[in-house]
Parts: sequence; C-alpha cells; structure tokens
Amino acid sequence: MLIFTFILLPIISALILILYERINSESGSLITFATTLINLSLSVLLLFILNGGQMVYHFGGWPAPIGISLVLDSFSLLMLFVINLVSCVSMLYSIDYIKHYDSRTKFFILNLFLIAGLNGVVLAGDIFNLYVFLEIIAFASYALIAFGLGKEDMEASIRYQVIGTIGSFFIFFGIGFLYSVTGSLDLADISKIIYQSASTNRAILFAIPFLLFGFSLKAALVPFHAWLPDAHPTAPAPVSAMLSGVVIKVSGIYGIVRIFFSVTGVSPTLLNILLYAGFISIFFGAFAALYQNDFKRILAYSSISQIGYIMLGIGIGTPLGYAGALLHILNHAAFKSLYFMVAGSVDYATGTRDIRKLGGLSKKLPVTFLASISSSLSLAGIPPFGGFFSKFIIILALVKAGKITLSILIILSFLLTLAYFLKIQGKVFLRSQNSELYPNIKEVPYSMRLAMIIMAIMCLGLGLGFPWVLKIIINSAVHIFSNGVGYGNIISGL
Amino acid sequence: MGTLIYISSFLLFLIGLYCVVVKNNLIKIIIGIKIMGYGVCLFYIMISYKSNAIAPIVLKDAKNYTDPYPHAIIPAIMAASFAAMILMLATSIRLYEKHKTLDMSKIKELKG
Repeated sequence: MLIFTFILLPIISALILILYERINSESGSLITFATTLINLSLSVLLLFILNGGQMVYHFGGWPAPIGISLVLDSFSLLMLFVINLVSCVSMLYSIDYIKHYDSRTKFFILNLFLIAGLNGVVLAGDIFNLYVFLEIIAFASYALIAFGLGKEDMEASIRYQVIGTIGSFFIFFGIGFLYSVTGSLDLADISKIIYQSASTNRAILFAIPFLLFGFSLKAALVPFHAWLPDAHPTAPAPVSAMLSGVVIKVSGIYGIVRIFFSVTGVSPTLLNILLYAGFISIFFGAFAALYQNDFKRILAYSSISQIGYIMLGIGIGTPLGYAGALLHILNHAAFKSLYFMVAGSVDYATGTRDIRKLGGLSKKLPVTFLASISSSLSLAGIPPFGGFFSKFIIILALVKAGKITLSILIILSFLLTLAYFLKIQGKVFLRSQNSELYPNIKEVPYSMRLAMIIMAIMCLGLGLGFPWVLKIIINSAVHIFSNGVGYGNIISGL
Repeated sequence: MGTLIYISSFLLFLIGLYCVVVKNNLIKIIIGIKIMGYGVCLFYIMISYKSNAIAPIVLKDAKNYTDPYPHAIIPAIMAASFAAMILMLATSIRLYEKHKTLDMSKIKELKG
C-alpha cells in the first residue's frame, strides 16, 4: 500500500484542485507542494528501509500473472527518489514563478498528473500499465509545453505531440510482439517465460527494434532528438526542469533498462548500439550547444549530450559502467534542473533569454549567480561536485573495458562541455561592460531563491557524500542490471 | 489468409508513418497518426485470432476460444489515440489562429 501512495496521492490532490479551482482560481500551489513533499519524504524513508530488497503491491489481492501489481526494486527506488526530489524542488520554485501566468491552478493540476505518471512508470509491474503511464506523462507534458499559449509554445508542443505519439505507437507495437510470444503482460512473468525457453523466439528479435525505436524517441538519443531542443526551452522554467531532469530519463532510459535488461535480456549487439548512440549524442549535443544563443536552448542541447553519457555508461556493459550511468542519472537530474531554474530566474528578472542581450548579472542576482556556479561546476565535472565522480567512473569503466580510444575522445568531450558553460557564465553573469543594461532588476522572489539554494547544496552534497550515495543508492541498483533476466524469478515469487 | 492480414496491418502502419513524415499539412499529419493507430489495433486483433475458434464466452461443447486479452486492450489504446488526436486538433486550431496556415513548412518560429 505504501508504494501505491506515490501514484494515488498526486491524483487525489489533482482531483481536489479541479474542484477547488471553482471556488478560488488563484491557489493550489501549497497543496501541490505539500503533496510532493510527502512523496519525497516517503521515498527517502524507503531508501533506508528497502535495503536492496523488493516490495510488491497486488491490486485487490490477486497474485501477479493474473492480477495487476506494482513492483519496487532498487533501480525503481533510485528513479523514484530522483523524480520526487526534482518535482518537490520545482514545485517550490513555481510557487512564485507561476505568478506571471494565467490559470495557475491548471498548471498545478497538470504537474500533479505528470508526477503521478512518472511515479507510475517506475513502479508499474506490467508492461501495459507502463505504457498507460507513459501516455499520462506524454499528455501532461504536451499540455505543459503549450502552457504559455504563444506562437512558439504551440509549435513546439505540436512537434512533440506528433513525434511522441509515433514513439508511443512503436512501443505499443513492440508490446504486441512480446505478448504474442509469451501470452503475458506481467514483466516478471514475461521475463521468466523468455528465460526458461530453450531458444530465442524470432518474434522477440523483431520486437526489440520497435521498443528500442520508441524508447529512443522518448529519450532523445541522437537520430531521434529533433523534438527536444524545441520542446524543453519553450516550456515554463519549472516544467523544463522536470522535463530535462526527469521525464526523458524515466520515459526513455528507465524503459530501455527495464525492458531490455530485466525482461528480454540484453545482447552484446544491443549494448554496442547503446554505446555508440550515446557516443554520437555526446558530441552532437555539445557541438550544437556551442552555436546557440538562447540560454535555455543551450541547456536543452546539453541535455542531449548528458543523456549520451548515461547511455554510454549503460552500453559499456560492466557493473562499473552501470554504476557510472546510475550516478550520472542522479547528478544530471540535480544540476540540469538547477540550471533550468537559473535560466528561468534570469528570464523572470530581465525578460529575455537571448544571451547576447544579457551581461553583468552576477552583482544584481547574487543567489542566481551562485546557483549557476554550483550547477556549472557539477556539469563540467570539477571535483568535489557530483558530476566529477559520475564522469570519472564512466571513464574508468571505459578504460577497464579496454576501450582506450573511446575514453580519450570522451575526455576531449569534457572540453566542449567546459566551453559551452563558460559561454553562458561569461555572457550572462560576468561580462561587465553590459552591467548597465538592466539597472532596475531585482533578485527573484523567496521561493525561487530557496529552491535554487536547495538544489545547489544538493549538487555539492552528491559530490561530498559520494561514498554514502554509492553505498545506499547505487550499489543495490547496479545489482538489478547485473541480475538481468533473473528479475523474473525474484519478483514473481513475492 | 492470416498472414495476409498481418502484412496488411504492417502496411497500414507504414502508410500512416509515410503520411506523417512526408505531408506538410497538419490535418493530414494527424490523419496519418490515426492510420498508424488503426494499424496497431488490427495487429492486436490478429494476435488473438485462432482458426475455428469461437468468441470467449463459456459454452458447454466449445473447446477452442479466441484470446480475450488483446480485445480488452484495444479500447484503451483507442481512447489514448483519441485523446492524442483531440489534443493535436486543439493545438492546430490555436496554431491556425496565430499563423493563418496549417502548413508545417511555413510555421518556423523555432530555429537552431
């Protein structure tokens, strides 16, 4: 019942807000923030009590292959923590940020459904529910991207809608193939049936490209990235933080890992595809980010690049590589959502996102400046910030796997990362000759400042507390990867 | 006969995909997405098909039933793709109000 709360609570709050909006159309922020805070504290509680085990909730008491179940294992728990951390902080941020938009309650209702969908995907125990929650995420984010109702918002939203729907259909087609072979929709049951069958059925080999295509579209790996640089910058800043920090990871990377590692079993070819897709994404994203002049657009391309690191880590195929990838999921969620909040604050204070028109903001917006420093250092991988450790572990895993050339190229890619974040810092915050451009701006309101400070401390804390993070969160999650299709045997007995 | 319907469900999916990729008019793109959805639905119906089987209703002398599970899934996918279509059409109305055109090759506010 405890894990069902993660899905039920946001939906109940959203329904309350739908009724409450008729009485008072202005509020809703506090209820939303309280909901996310409860979810965050529950997920932190679970971090300490789960301890590498599993938790299963059967709806209505029906056992798994017949009934529907929710499953929580260590990897789900890592994602659950990331989701609820980022959603809690971004809801805190949006209490003040959303004040210059109309129909605020609708914003919070959509966000609550987004959170419910995200929690649902990582907890879903059967593949059809996973698909349904993916659709909930998709619809909520389509609407949230179009929330500003401007020309750009509508265009970005319709592009994302078209591409996202195609991705969903591909995933659904793949699910059909899996079902036609195994006759089951329960993840653990499918995994068990595939594990016990003597030879690989060809229909499963046919299902894998469909699922890979669909999830890569959702994760914005490079050949399928076209929607991301439009969709993420045009959304309101807290939504951008959610989209870049959590949504692409949950609907893309979590799907890939859960389906391919735990259910169908992973082959060396598939690992190589992930490795090189990640590698291309890293360089493509970083080069494209260098040529942008829109603050949030640089960050969106940077997201493509950082997702590439995670895919690369998974594609190495060793426990060290998985640990690096998982750590990078955590770190990227912290620093990229913080960076989007910084971009939102700059937009809030000055009214523009074009970095050519900005400059010398370090004195006018000290808190924002400090937050941007913290996230930049984590993004560039400077010790002792969190980003250093995850990138270091990925490099180490590459060297240990014997891929020396690749590891040298990845080290060179850090220079590109350094270049685009220095471009942001130099043009937006430092460049002193432009300091008279905005004489009357003030530091952003309290809730936005508080949210940025919490996330900045988180970026530093993930680095300083690295041994504990590794011990409490990462280690047990790596076992899910290494166990592979043993997942079915573990879960189906519970 | 069975193989032919499998192939046709694929063909329908690919026709829809072709329509989405090639056409510029937003309404035609949305129609393409619906065609893709129908292709997937047809595939699910074919999964549950068995020759000489009857509808999954328990009768005394019947032995061979079709699989009821995909039939139960199809309404869900239809609802989801219907919702997607409505959201897309609503967005297209807003886009038309702003740009006075539905040609995606002319709607280019976002670059880079």
